[in-house]
Amino acid sequence: MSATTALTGRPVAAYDEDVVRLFVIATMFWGIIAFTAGVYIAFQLAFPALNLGLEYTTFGRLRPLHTSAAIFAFGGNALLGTSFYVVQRTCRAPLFGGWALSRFVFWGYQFFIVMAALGYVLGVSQGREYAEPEWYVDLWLTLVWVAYLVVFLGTVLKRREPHIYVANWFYLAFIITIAVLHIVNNLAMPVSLVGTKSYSAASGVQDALLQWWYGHNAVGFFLTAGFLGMMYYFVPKRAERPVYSYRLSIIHFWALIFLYIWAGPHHLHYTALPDWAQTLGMTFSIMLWVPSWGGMVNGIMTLSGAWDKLRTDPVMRFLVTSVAFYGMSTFEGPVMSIKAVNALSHYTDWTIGHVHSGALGWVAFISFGAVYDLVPKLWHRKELYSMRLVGWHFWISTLGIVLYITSMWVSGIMQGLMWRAYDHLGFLQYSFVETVAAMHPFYVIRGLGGVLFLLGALIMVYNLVRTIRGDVRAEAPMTPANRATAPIPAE
Amino acid sequence: MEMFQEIAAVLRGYWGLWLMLIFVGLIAWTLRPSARQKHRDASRIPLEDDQEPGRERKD
Repeated sequence: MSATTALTGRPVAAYDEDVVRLFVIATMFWGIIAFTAGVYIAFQLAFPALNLGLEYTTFGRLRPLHTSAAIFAFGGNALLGTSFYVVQRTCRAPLFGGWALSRFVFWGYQFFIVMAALGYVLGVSQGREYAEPEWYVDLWLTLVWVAYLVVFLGTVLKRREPHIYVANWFYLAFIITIAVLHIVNNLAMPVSLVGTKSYSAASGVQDALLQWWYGHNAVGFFLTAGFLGMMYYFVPKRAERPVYSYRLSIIHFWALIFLYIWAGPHHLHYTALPDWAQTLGMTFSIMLWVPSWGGMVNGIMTLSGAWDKLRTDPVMRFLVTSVAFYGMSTFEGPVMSIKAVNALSHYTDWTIGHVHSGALGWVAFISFGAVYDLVPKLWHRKELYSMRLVGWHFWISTLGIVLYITSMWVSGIMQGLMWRAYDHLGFLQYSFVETVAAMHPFYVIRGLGGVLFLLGALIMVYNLVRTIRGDVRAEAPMTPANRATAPIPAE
Repeated sequence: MEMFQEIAAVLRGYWGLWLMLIFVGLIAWTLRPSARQKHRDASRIPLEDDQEPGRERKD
């Protein structure tokens, strides 16, 4: 196909890329907020004086601010933005609902984030992890989410490509499941229509199970299925080769759908939850290991025959490393769901380390890869401002993640062992505060890991802003000219 | 009518089995040899999305 046809004939102009640009900017903005909040509360744990003696800045209020900013603001904007981009491209159809509906989704979602964050700081919370916003914010999000579903599903239904590409399956599963989880978990009765306080419809252990059915499937469908949609589009796109096995991607999809929904009870091991339900949750969590690794193999093997891109393209390095972290987290998760392991790991920092190997290594890295790939395309720039800076971002944040998860492994396992240690008379050997004191050095190391991760993200923002402005940095190319042209002998 | 309700009640007890059968059926359907070419074409969708609809390169 000649360049002119490609330029004049393609329907790209009809795609709504403007809303994707907004989402990309929001992703960068909230990413910096989320990482900064994370670094701050990490140092609060090491140095409690940073609570500042104010109710608004205590760890208890800033922690949900950090988790919501990371998951829903940074991750959510990345998901919504890429899903709008991917669904238009792979369905070869512009967004359904036109300008107004997609803008409502964007601004409505930002309003949700701001309302939720304000609530946390002011002490308005349901106290349900990852579902802290109170009833009025929940209702607003439901409205925005239904609009999002209409835009996405409408585009799929209007598609000009007969087949629905697998990335869209994952995105759609994410949208529908999150809607169901959000509505059911937030069933509550407000105390009054002018007050913020509400009481959950369920109570006791049913309420707890409902919350972790929600909580773990937020991990499964927001942080996994949604970002797998990203993986199944951006990894093949960047590698310029089709996914390793399309069949495997379909099996990956259905296996996750059938298994994830049962795994929630592993958050309630050794509680009032009936034993059989705990064992059920553990069993399904262990079974999840298989499809997760199937998906990881599928993502990584897409590079088969193009491994040199790992050396020459730091954006590809982000994408592939994220899939490797996906594999690592989805192995660690099933291990931690085993009751005997959970007896040691639960309530310790090991859990926090696990979450961050998923959130930083998988979720954030695949988002960085997708954003680096998207920005030059969305702003019609030939290339990124600097590939070298992408490389710096990659290594600095990888080092940050390594510091984070290793310190939390040591700290968490030590904490668990200290809690269960008995002396020769059968008394607990350590008081709680002794375990806290022992963790101090690891909290500092974790905080430094977070600083590195934040530093990497700031480099990214600088790089992307310069790219958007149209600058190109004068630098040595990633591949020396002689290497790029010379044929590489088969190994 | 009552008979159907009784049958439904018995079948409901085997929900795990039905789910399993649906799942195995889905896998078998995905792996059917006749879908090979269809899947190969589908996997190329993201690689050809810069081009005009209806004029995708087939290779």
